[in-house]
Amino acid sequence: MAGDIQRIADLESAPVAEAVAQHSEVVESLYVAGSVGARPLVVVRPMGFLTAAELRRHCRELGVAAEFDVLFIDETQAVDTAAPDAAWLTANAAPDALSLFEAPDGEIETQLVAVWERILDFTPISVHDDFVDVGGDSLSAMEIAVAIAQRWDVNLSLVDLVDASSVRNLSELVRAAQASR
Amino acid sequence: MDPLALPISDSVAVAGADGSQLTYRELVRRADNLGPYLPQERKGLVALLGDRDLATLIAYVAALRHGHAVAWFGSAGTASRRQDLVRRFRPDVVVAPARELAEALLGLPYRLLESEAAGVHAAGRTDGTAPPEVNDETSVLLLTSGTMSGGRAVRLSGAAVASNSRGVIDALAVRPTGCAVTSLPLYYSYGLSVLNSHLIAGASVLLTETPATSVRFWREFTTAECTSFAGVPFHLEWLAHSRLTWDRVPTLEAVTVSGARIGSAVAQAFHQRADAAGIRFHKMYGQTEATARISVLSHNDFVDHPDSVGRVIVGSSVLITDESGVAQQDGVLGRIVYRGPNAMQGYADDAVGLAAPDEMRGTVDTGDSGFLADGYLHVHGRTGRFIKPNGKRLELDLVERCFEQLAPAAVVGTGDERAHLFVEGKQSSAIKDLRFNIIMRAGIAPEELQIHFVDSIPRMKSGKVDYGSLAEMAADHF
Repeated sequence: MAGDIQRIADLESAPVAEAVAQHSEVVESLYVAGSVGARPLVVVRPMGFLTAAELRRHCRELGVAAEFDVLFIDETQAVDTAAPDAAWLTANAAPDALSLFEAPDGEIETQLVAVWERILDFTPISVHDDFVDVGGDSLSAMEIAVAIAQRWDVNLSLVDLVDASSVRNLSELVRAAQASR
Repeated sequence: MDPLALPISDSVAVAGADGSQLTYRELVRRADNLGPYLPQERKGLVALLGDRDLATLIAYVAALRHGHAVAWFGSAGTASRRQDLVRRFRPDVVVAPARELAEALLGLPYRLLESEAAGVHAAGRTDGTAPPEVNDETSVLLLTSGTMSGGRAVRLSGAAVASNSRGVIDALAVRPTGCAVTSLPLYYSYGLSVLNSHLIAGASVLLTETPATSVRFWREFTTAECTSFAGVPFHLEWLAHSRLTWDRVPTLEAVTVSGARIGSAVAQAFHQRADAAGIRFHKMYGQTEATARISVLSHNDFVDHPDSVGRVIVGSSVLITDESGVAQQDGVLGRIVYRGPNAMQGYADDAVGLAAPDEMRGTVDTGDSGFLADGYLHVHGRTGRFIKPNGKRLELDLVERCFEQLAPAAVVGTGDERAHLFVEGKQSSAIKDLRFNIIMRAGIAPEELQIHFVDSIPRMKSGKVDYGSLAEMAADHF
């Protein structure tokens, strides 16, 4: 049984690993299948300005699964390619090096992800993705602020929005503003 | 005179976001290709409806090189506003990206010129009437207005443009190896002063329309090895709160901020972060009516004079006066009056106004209040009824008039660049819709136009709105 799951994971992982490796700013990459129920992890040695969100979008555009975590490593770090341990790698990652993909939880997050995806024309969006990393700027911030004001009657400044950084934090702001009424 | 007087050299004048480069020699050649399509043997008016694109820049250089005046009307956000400006100022030639050009000239007596060969979409006036007469000294016309209102044009002489640029080059130590970026619109006097000062200094400019609040902008900036960044206070707040790593760009040497008052805390934090990264941070003050820049605070002076906007640029001076025009002593608050070669010639509302002589004779009342202390200028506030959120200018009277059609309403601005609208009665869908309509048209955040419902708007005995009381009420909402 365990062998079957491993085989299925391998079948699904091959196209993702290939898509990741194809990205022009990926120097080296390794796909580590998650254990049952857990997300896969992609370990990447990048060049240029590559972000995790950009890598996921690239995979989504190529039509492969894009819901994976990303760990960036630099040239000094090595990964045990024979038996990579996703849990150990993520637990020991530098704070800025790890990007988790998490789908929205609850109504506000779900709607905010939909608003971001529509206005930023960027998909998929993790609730942890940073606003500027997924193509946000002051113009799109304005559109999002207006959408939030219209939907929840909550007034945010553009700086509030970029300061919140992620859908997760932004939904907290909306919730807090609603609670304080 | 041509205030730019570009050198014909092989160093790079304009860099594109795509990595393309244009030398001074090539820029001048392309500008001269356009020359034959502009009025010959008389001074004409060339209107630019575009902003930060190469064709518009070439037309700007061409018009100045051939002795014409440039009306840079890129701030007109809609086709009807562009039409209105063309109708009022009757330019000889209109230059714009193809679609805007067709829209703006619909039904007006203009026909397309064969200037495609020079890479520029342009149209010439064909009604056969006498061309507008333009003051001999005028080189540039810029609009003072905000994003929603009609706007007056400020008439700037070639000498003023040249002298202001020299002042900027001196205060910011612009070198031929420097590279600026068009982070601000070029139809905006501060943005144009960045372009002019760098071209006159023989430096280069990265021509891009990418918003400075995006990752893409900072990638373009890094790749083009830019050395300076010009922003408005909103940009600095955005940079401070976002995860953009502007302070890790290895070539960045200087950041300037102007365009509105910057909060003390924001400026302090920014200075500190810039200093730690070895980047100079300059607060500046200016006005379109004084050809962009009036004063610059050097990076090192910030420590001792953090609340000042610095020293007046070389060749200019500032006088603080009381309401009757009497000069005030050091430290005494009064009106800031600019004196010097950068003063505008006056305003123009239409083609007829372009012929007017120099009405200012070197003196401009800025409408701002402030004081001088040991040669350092401090700006206290403004007397005008507008706010400047995110670098946009929002006329409060205009907003007030919009809402008055629905219910008695009055608007006041607060020091944090927010408009507080007081409306008699209750919320309605019409008021809600109007608010969002204004927010979107003006390009501001919902937080910057707040509505408060009151039973009655406080008024003076005369019946006029008591803005003082409203300001206090608004301050309670800080």
